[in-house]
Amino acid sequence: MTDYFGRLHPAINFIYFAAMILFSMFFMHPVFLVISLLGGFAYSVALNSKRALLFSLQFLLPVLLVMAVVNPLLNHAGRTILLYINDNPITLEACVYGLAAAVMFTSVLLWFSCSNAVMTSDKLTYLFGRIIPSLSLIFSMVLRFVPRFKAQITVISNAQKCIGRGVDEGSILTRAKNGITILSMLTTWALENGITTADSMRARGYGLPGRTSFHLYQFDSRDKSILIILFVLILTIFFGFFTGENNIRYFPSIIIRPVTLGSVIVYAAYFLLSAFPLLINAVLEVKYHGSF
Amino acid sequence: MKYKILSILCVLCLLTGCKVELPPQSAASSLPQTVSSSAVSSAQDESALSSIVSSQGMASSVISSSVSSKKTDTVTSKPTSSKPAASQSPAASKAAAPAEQSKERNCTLLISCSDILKNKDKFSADQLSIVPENGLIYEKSSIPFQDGDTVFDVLVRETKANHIQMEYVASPVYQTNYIKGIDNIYEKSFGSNSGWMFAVNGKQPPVGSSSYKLKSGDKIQWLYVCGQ
Repeated sequence: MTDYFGRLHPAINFIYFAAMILFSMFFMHPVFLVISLLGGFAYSVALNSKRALLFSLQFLLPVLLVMAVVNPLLNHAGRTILLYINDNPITLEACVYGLAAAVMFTSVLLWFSCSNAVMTSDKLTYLFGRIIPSLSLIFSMVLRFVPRFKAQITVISNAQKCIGRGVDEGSILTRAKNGITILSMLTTWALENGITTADSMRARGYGLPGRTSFHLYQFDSRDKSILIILFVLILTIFFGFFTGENNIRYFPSIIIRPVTLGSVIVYAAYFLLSAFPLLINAVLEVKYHGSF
Repeated sequence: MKYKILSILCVLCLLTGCKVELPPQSAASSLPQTVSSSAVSSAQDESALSSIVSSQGMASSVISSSVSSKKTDTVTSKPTSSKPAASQSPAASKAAAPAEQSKERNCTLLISCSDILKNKDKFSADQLSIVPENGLIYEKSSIPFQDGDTVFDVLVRETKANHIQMEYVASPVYQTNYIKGIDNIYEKSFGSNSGWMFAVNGKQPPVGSSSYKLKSGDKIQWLYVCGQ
């Protein structure tokens, strides 16, 4: 499925991810946590299907389990004592809190992976290039730092392998020497590359007043209506936040607000918000192609 | 993966010699807050102790069960009454000894956080919601104990038997256990200098709770002190 959400105006993408990441970070209510986790997981799978699934299963699931298990071993607060380990109580509340914190952590990671895939560096430069030029350039460079280094180190080590100086030939000492040479090449390349980038950006007049940059983004009527829907959802969730619908006390005993009509509306708004990109994709797919 | 992690944890538990046990089920008959008839007298004791505490200027420092070596110095050096008191208490127990020579060893235990209620106006209703109404968490007289039992042993046994939550950490440097919280009232949650302190017969011993060996007739008090 085409990611129509990523083709919307960058401002909408940015507002959406900022709101979603902040909400998943600060809402510890179980309903909100589960909604955010499911939304993040579904969208990350929709964005980069196989890799996201592998990432979730190989990295996120073990992290979630370890966090959920470790918390009650370190945190002994809570009224409901399940068992004693070395005379310190293991409590139900600590177990539940550990699980909640782990889900929160995982969903934030998932949302960050989504925003990384959607908020490409050209969008960031477009959004912040005029307000904070140097910071947005540095930010977009930093985001590309690790992937570029990885690509470049593969190129260098392949070239070294061709002339018989790879890291997997010879004695340990030779291998270490070759590895150090490769690292030195990488560092030299990185420094030179940084200077080249800076010079090139200066030559093009980046950050000068009155300079415009080329972009294909247009804020059209589609973006307008979607932005209005987004704002309505975010405001509803903020309303729920200020009326305390997401309040939960974990220690010493768990206290949750009873579910009312108002809270169901806030839950629905949060669900729509976390499924927003997928809904947009589905609606636009139907609109443009008639069917899925 | 899941089972791997769980099994690794189990092996770790076994290797470190952790003692795993279930909370007692039968103790439901004795309520957690058993307030005996001697509540009035003990309350007086307590106020006497807290006045001692404040007069010594101890309330400002966070020393509950783990008495640091530095603080031990101040306790032993500063108040001159401390040393005679230490020598006094065996004498007192000796005087009481003929009366209960044949009886088994008993002590009394009081766990109270009424110092929070005295400073009620400083804390929010949310904070105070975890504090029991009269500040008394647990009180029991004539608790039998065995020879060599410490203040800490009695606290662990009684809190466990009465389903009162209690958390401690071992501090190997001072060779004692530090009580972080009793009944979910934790150190530092009512002011930055707050925490649990213990006293035996109205005096604060210059050692930690797991180093203080009990004598028959000892009155143990665990008091939550708010500090300044």
